[in-house]
Amino acid sequence: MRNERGMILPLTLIVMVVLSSLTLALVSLAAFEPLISRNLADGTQARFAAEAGIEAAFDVLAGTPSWNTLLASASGSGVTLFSGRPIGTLGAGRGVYTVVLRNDTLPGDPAITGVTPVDATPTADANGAVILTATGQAGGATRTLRVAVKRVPSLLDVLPAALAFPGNDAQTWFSGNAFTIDGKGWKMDGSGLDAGCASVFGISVSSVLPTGSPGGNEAVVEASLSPQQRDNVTGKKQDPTLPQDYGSNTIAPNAVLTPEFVKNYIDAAKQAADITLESFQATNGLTFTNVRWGTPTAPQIVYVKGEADPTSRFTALQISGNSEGYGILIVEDGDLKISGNFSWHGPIIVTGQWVGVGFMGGGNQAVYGAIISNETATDPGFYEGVMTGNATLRYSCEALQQAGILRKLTSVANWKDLAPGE
Amino acid sequence: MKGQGGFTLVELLVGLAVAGLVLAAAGLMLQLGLATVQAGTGQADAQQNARWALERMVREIRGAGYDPTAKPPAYNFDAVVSPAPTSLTLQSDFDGNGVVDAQGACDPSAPAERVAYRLVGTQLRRSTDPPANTCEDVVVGGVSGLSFTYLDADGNPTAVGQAVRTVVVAVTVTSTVGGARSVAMADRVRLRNRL
Repeated sequence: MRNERGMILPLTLIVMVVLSSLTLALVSLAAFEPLISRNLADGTQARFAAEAGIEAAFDVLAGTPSWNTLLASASGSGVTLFSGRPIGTLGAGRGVYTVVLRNDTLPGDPAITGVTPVDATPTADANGAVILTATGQAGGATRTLRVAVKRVPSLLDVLPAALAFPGNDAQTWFSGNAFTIDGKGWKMDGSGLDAGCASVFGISVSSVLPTGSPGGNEAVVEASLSPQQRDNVTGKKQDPTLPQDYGSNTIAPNAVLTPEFVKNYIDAAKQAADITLESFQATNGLTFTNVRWGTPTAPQIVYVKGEADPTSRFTALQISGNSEGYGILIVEDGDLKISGNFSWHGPIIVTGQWVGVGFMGGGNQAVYGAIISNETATDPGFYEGVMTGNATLRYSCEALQQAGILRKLTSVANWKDLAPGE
Repeated sequence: MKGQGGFTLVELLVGLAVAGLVLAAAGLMLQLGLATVQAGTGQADAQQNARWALERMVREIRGAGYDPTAKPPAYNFDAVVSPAPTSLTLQSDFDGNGVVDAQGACDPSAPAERVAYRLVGTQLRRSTDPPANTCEDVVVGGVSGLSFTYLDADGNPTAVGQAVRTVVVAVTVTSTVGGARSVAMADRVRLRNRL
């Protein structure tokens, strides 16, 4: 047995190789599962990051009076609002988002925004629709969301006057010599003029001339003011070469604020209304005494729907006592009559058939913002605007763009989780 | 051969018995370990399938009701069609033409505007042409339970398609690898495209 050789070494090696490959196989199998889980977790985290990006960008858009300021440096592919930003106070390890804002200029964009026609240039939004693309990243995962953000085009961009009659008729009645209609931009609290707010006309009318009415509604309004009353209407000059910034030289026709614009505006605004009321002829409309709607920090949209009355006698909303409000007051298909002490900060819109707005005196009445009285019927002999007593109407950019109103009129639509490469 | 020691028969038998015992114990342990690994694999498998199925449906539910030409709160169509407890049909209008188009051919990569999920046997299937269901793919197998609960804007159960704002999806996946094991998962999804 002296020359016998053992087989121990090869045997041991073979056993070790077999065992370790078995172990490796098991370990790799076990290591694979956490990887899949990790992937899923990262994907979910990335989507949350993208959603956070949409929210953050919406907040910026809702608080910006004109989106053109954000789009100023945009190219065709848009402008980056946020880049690699972490979610709130969480660290970047929990996911980051990048958000690109783009104006809708491509032929296919109506399928995203639902708005036609698309805008002409990447830097100028005219149709109140933009597109946000948010990309969330966490670990190795990426998720992309796309939404359309829409807003009712701002009244600020189109309002031609403190008191606007864009509809068919503009029959007005002014009583006494204590009323004020002022197209110069005022601060919302009435403390003085607002240097950043460009003046508009005192009164504007539709540029469409009614047949058989020389001078159109402009002549109708001008004729309703007595020589003593004319200097109570002030604002931007219709003819800049004339010295007068009052009377007939600040009563002008306008083609930008149209009945269609008013209709689209209130259609959108009433969806966002905080208070929606219905007013019926059978019960003589609604009457509110000592009412308070909205505050400077939380303005409200109040929408009153009346019933069309061909006799034009129906007052859909009557406000008396000591009342005040901040926001948008909309009355459709019926008159708005105001008496007592009243103040409103923001736009007042009266629209529909056989409508009008009347300041009936009996107190101090002040509106900072603007009034639109949009008659869609044709009703000679019935007033669209009545001002008596010391009613004061002052144009105010600040009141028209109160942050809360902007936010309410801005909405996210058409949420889509984009597939890779889409 | 002088001085060479040897084993007696008794010694050999005792040695073999001891070795046998040790080997038996090791074998048992190995078997136990293998069974555990297999059970774990089965469990992970079921979990993975349930997660995938849920993720697939949740992603699609969240974006359902895509309707660019609508004027909210009025919509051109319902995001969820006739809510049913064991099947789900979703609608969208991706091309923005105002209607939910029927898909022309069975192309899984094309964005289908009408999609349905249902359980056939133990297969969760996704169809892009309900109710005919000729274009149907299997999402995952081994599904032993699938249920949908529909909630309205106030969080109350509803059976009206137009009122649906939230869908609660519950999936149970059973794996037979290493013994029957079930994993149940549920998620609650808000329809992002409905106010």
